Amino acid sequence: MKKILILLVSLLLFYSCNNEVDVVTPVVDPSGFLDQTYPLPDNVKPIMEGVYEVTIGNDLLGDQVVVKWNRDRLSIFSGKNGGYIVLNSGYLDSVLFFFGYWRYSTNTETGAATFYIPANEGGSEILSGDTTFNTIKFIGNYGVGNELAANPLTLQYKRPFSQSVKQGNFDILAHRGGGRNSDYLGVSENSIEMINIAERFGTTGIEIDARLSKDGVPFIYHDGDINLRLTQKSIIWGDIESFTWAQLRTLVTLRNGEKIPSLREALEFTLEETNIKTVWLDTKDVDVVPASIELLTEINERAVNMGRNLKIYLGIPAEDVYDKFLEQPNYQDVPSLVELSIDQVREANALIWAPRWTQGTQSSTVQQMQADGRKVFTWTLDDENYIEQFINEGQFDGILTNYPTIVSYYHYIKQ
Amino acid sequence: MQILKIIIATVAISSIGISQIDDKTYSLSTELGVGYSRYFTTMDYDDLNQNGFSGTVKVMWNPEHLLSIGLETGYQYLYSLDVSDYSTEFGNTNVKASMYTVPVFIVFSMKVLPNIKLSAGSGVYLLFNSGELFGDELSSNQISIGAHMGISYTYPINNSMAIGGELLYSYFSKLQDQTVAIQFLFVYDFFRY
Amino acid sequence: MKIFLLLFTILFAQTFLLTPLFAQQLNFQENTFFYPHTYENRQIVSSLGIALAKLPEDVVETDDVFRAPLFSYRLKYGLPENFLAEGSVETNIVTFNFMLGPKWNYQFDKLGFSLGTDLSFYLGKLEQFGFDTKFNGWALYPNISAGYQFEKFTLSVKSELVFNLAEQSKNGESEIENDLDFFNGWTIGMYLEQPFWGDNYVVLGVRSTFLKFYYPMWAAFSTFDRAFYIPEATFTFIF
Repeated sequence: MKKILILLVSLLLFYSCNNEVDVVTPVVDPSGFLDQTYPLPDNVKPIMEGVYEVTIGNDLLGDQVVVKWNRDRLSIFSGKNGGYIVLNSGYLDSVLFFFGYWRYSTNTETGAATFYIPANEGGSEILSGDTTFNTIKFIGNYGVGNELAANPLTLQYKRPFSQSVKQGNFDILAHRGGGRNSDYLGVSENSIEMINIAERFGTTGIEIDARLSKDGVPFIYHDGDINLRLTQKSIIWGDIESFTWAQLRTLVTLRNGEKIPSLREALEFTLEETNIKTVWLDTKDVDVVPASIELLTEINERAVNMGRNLKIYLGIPAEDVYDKFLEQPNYQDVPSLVELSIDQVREANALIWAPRWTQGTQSSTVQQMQADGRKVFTWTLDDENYIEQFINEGQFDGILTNYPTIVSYYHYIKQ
Repeated sequence: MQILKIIIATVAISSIGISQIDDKTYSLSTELGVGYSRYFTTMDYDDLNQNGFSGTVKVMWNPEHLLSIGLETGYQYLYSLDVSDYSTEFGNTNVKASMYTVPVFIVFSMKVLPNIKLSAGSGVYLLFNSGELFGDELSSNQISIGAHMGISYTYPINNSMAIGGELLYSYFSKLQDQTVAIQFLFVYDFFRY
Repeated sequence: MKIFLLLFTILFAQTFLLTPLFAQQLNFQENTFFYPHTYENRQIVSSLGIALAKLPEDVVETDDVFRAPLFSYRLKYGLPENFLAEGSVETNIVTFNFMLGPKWNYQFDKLGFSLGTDLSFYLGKLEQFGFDTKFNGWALYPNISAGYQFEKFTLSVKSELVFNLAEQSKNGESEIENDLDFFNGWTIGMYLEQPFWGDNYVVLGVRSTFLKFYYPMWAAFSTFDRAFYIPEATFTFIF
């Protein structure tokens, strides 16, 4: 009896003792139906945007959702568990079709989602470019896990975004290029692949982390060392900046199989392949400051020449980086973002002040900065209740978050 | 299964054991272990050498009851890799890399039988990484937290010395890998009071 | 892990079969804390402990275990009819957790059982590193223990369910009531108590927690809607 008791206790204590998470990949458009449709013209996409009522499927999404197009997908943001849907699209005979997946931001629940907009529920009007039509209906289904989408889900157009939302220039900034590894998005934080999908979460800007290799190549990577939070197992360990660029690219693989991007690769991809308008280039080591300034200056100039609405700011998170920044020639002309005191923001002539969210909304100080002509971003805000409060009661120009889907929801429903 | 047999055999031998001298003497002892270590990893390299030397040095305080406490350090080989003509985006190169570790641990041990002790320790592993790639040296150090558990059998050869063996399982948090080591053990009670 | 389990299980089983070899009378009724023996009326046993937890990397983004050891002082006070009251305070400097609750213990010779529940109030404050944050909450810990007294040591197991009752936080001038699920998770711990030297008893413990919200890491403001496995190693002096 004693031995059995001990065995049971030992089993209880030492099994089930890891925090590994498995997120299923939903089966999306298994028959390849979208391949037979025509791509939606860009000019008709904004007609669909707005706040919708969930008439069927409230269990999944709550009572209302935001429908918003991004570069290549239609995204739907809900107020339940940070839920969102990302959809690919096409049309055939005045009917619009959508296939994709839903996911809760704060946990790992996911599944397939499909919709169509019939010709007589807005399909014809959308395709004809009729911007006055406002009774659009998304009729669809969703599945859970690997199930086929079979549960009904219907969205009814409720209202457009408010004028203040449309005319505002609020930045929804995604942490680490779009999200953390701990959110299990299928791609790694601070990777090109993450930047590529960031806009699907409602992101208008990204934050990425710059470091410098032993031989002087700037690259993006968050932590100071090679570790399993960020990388797959490797034969090299230790301070990541003690390795040359060739060594890092050859021997280190990011958590989901990607290579570590150089800073040039990341910024050029952002410039050329996305519509992202703000990059918060955080400085993780003082030594990367000159290289970051040189590169962001080059890419910002290229953006202006291309007529591309993109601005890259050098992030200054700590005193040592700040001191290094002040040593740089013409530092006051470098677009920068300072997380320190407002006096230091002014001394550096930073365009953005970025206080930690745990200082609260600080509305009077925020207004002082805005009166100087500067923007104020707060970081890194993930708690849904605080996001709602900061958007409705705060004066910020942008919020950095791991859950841009939640920020998007509360931003776009704002009256 | 092999490990199971070893454990059962060790326990069986100990059951025959030498009778316990349960006195009120406290002692300080040093325990030296040398042996073989096997590194268990999910790293996927065909040429990874996972067998190597393991050595530990412990200084233990042994009060009159079952429990002892002490400090441990040592050396444990983890792995090495030597690959020629490795293909990369920068061209072909030779890859050399190796890793060993030095533990700095607090260790508890408990006499569960007259000659058998269970031990558990935790602390930090100093990880030393070295090698070469593209003609550039690879060299870095890192600290990982870790823990180990062991079982040892010792047989007294005189009043203050004993010899025996130890089976040691170690876990490296940073690497999320483990080693199993088998060591020859020499124990010397260098101070009694 | 399996090797580890085998080793652990076989050796403990062997230990218990052969413990009579170490026959010596020890007073566990007065010197053990986690072993759920019955208490004399007004009997007091207290303990001072330190716990180190391996926090989940998804939340704290480091595998550093030594950042925030939890120090604890616990006291049990004997009441009539096999009841007792237990109170404790735990702290990692920026967080305090006060617990108080009744227990009912029963002993069949060397086998002891305990049923109880603890009410917890925790609070934290952090004003460094860009924080201007205060935090507090209430939780309930119904618990059950069983333990066995061997010749030279006791071995006890304690399991708790953890329920969130209320929680609020304040950052700067922004204040909210946090939405936490009522059921937070559960814990199970195993405690080995024995004399270390002379009449000084210690407890070596391992506790596994499976919780969505682990109060010592409140400052991480975890938003993950999933339970994490958090192992704790504890070392406790009894006096």
